[in-house]
Amino acid sequence: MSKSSVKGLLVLLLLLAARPADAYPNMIRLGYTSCATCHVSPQGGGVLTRYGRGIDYAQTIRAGEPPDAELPSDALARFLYDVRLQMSVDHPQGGAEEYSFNTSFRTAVAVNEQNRVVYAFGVRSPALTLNRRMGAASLGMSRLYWMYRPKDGVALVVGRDELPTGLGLPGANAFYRSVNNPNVSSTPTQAKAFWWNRRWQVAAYAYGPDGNETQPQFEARGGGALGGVNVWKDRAVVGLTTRVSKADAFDRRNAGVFARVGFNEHVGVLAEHDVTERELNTGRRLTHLAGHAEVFFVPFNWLQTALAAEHLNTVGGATTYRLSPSAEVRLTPNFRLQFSSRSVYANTDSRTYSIQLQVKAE
Amino acid sequence: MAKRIIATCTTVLATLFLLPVAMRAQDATDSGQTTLRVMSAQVSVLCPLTIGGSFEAKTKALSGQVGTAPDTSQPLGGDLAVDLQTLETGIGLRDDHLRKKYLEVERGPAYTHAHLKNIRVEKLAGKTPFHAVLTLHGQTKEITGTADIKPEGDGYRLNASFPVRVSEFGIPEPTYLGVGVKDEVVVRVNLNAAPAPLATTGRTK
Repeated sequence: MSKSSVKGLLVLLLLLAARPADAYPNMIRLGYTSCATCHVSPQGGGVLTRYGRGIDYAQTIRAGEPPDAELPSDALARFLYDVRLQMSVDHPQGGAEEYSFNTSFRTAVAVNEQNRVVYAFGVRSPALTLNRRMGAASLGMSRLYWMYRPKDGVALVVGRDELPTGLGLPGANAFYRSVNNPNVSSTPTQAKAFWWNRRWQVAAYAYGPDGNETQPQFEARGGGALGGVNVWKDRAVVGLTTRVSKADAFDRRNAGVFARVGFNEHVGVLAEHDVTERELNTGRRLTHLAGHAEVFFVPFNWLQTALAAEHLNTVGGATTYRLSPSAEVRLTPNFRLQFSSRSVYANTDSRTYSIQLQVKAE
Repeated sequence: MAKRIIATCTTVLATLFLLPVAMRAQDATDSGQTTLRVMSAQVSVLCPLTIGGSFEAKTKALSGQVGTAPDTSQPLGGDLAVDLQTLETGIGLRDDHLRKKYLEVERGPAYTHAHLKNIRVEKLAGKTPFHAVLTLHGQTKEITGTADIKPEGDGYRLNASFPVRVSEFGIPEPTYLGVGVKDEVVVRVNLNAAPAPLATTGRTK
């Protein structure tokens, strides 16, 4: 590949987008009540802090110290980043195996102690089978925001990002977002404020379109809030969420509850359920009940397993369930293997098996 | 002949080793104390993080015995010892840091175990404040806490907790990659104790 091609590719990468970031709310099992302990973003997912990277390194088969462990404990990490290459093999029931490759780059640049710029983009290949390909490569920017943390426990964020959720699990939301919040952007332009301490976690936000909506009528504007409270020995957080939005296609109101509970260092549950009311521009009113419940079992820190059950019910309409057992083996800080299957029970049932190999550099 | 010599030596050695134990037990009986041995226990140290959340360092390796007396104005005899080398936090690397870097267990016997002695309670049943002398990291300080003591069978079930200031025991400030443990940690002890037979050494699980 010529130098100009490499430069062109790099520029393209810098302009375009990423997949949802990894998040591990099951860390409640070890007393981590807030995502902000390990993630730059208080809502979790995305780039890890120095401490978060240390904890990540410590939870692999070949556990060890991260590269910057010798630096002073309070040293400011000016440039936090990770690059991930992920190869996935999906085997749909009755279909041909599909191969896909995803690359993501995530970074957080510290201007000073209080100010950071966070950016993430990714490249996703089309799904490939042995004799054809489906779709095209997609590129995109998932996050670009400025974050100001005037003091511990307070953060203000302005830019483009995922909206805060109770569990912070992007995959869970994706399952039902296509029905109870269709066609809108998953990473709208937003301004949000976080406040947290040992007992409370609160987030409030307002958002608007980001230009990724499929049609102008889906450009939604709205606001929301969520609040969680640490109710049991730093091992259980329960809370409420609410959101309202308006778009030409539909107005939407949503309220929900969530819980993250670690019974001990090996076992716990994550749950988030909500009810959404949508009023379409045709005057039709729809009510959706959606939820994600997950039991996780972590026999060793390097082996994380979970069984998730999700449901989406449209009152007076269709009901869909999904059952997703999964296991992740953390071989080294840089290599992970993930196994999962997704069984969807709807009008037409389906099942998909997936294997993912993730290579990470940071 | 050889068998007779071995038998005689065994009897003498057994007498020499068991005599002090029997004498101590007799002393306890003379002073009105009943000696209780720890049968099972769990010690949990709750370590709050400076930026929220906490982790627990746990062990079941608490051993020893205490003497109980009707006169609660006197300290209970005996010694409870916790093997600090068995503390586990749920993350192996953190266990290593805790034991080697902060508790410095490799420095010798004074660092491998924490000892609780001279325990004073106001009553031997129900909720009660207590005072004791804690030796940890080579330093000895008095601590104060609360205990809930319940008679159970021949013995007792005890749930106790007390705060410990890490800095008072000369332990280096625990911090890792910008996140620290607050100076005050809370120690929780749950144990079952039963009357000890004459020869007692405590049990380590």
